[in-house]
Amino acid sequence: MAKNQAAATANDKGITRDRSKVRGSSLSGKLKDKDSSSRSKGTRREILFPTEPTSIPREEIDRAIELVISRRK
Amino acid sequence: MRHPEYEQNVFINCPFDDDYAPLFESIVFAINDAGFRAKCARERLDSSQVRLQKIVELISSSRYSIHDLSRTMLDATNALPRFNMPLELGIDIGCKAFNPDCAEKSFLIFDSEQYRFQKFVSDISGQDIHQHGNNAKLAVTRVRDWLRTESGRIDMPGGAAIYDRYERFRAELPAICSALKLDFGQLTFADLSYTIARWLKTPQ
Repeated sequence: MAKNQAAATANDKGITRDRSKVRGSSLSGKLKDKDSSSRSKGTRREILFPTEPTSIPREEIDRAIELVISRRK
Repeated sequence: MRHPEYEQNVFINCPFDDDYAPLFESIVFAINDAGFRAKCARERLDSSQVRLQKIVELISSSRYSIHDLSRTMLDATNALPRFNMPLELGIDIGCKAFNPDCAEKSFLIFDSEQYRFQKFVSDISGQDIHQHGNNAKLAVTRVRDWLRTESGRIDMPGGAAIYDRYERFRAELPAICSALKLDFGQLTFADLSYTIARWLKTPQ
């Protein structure tokens, strides 16, 4: 009975007691806002690769960069 | 008819000596990080093509050009000026003037000192001439600001952010070359451009 009253009071105040829903909706809302804000500010640009052939196979350069990055502290 | 990559290409007309190498690298990096593609006469290995013809092709396929006149000075051996850079600037100005497809071309012209160019190419007075003071950070900022203004693109990082990334890239480049079993000087222009682009694509 007391639980029902508490739930009714919460509903009257517009508060949902399902915390997972609260977190989920809030977080996804924030991410969405942040994402659209980032787009509107145009902070994403495409990095273009050269069209000319490299003297070393590109896969070797990829591996060398991955190796060096993996050693970052 | 415009080259399909015209809007993304930035032609670099600069000296290729060792003293200039740090500035060259920083300019190539800034172009890549701003979302454009660097082009220069060093990229093509096909020796059958006449050098000037390569340059004309690169100029006509690039909406943007960086012309660095700062090394137009007397050669220590021959006591004659190095005139390739002013020559290529002249070709680019002609391309813009006479080719309707290239009428929107934009130039960033560097010289070492303000008004020095008036002593050897006074006909370009009225153009915006900028100084980089042989300073990579200044060169990066100038290149970024010019591309931002001329392209109207809003998706571009600031000059300080680009230079910060350039310093981190430069710190890792010797290790990348070592992993490739190469001396840094052995990287071709295409190798360097690809390495920069790939490095920029990785999580920072």
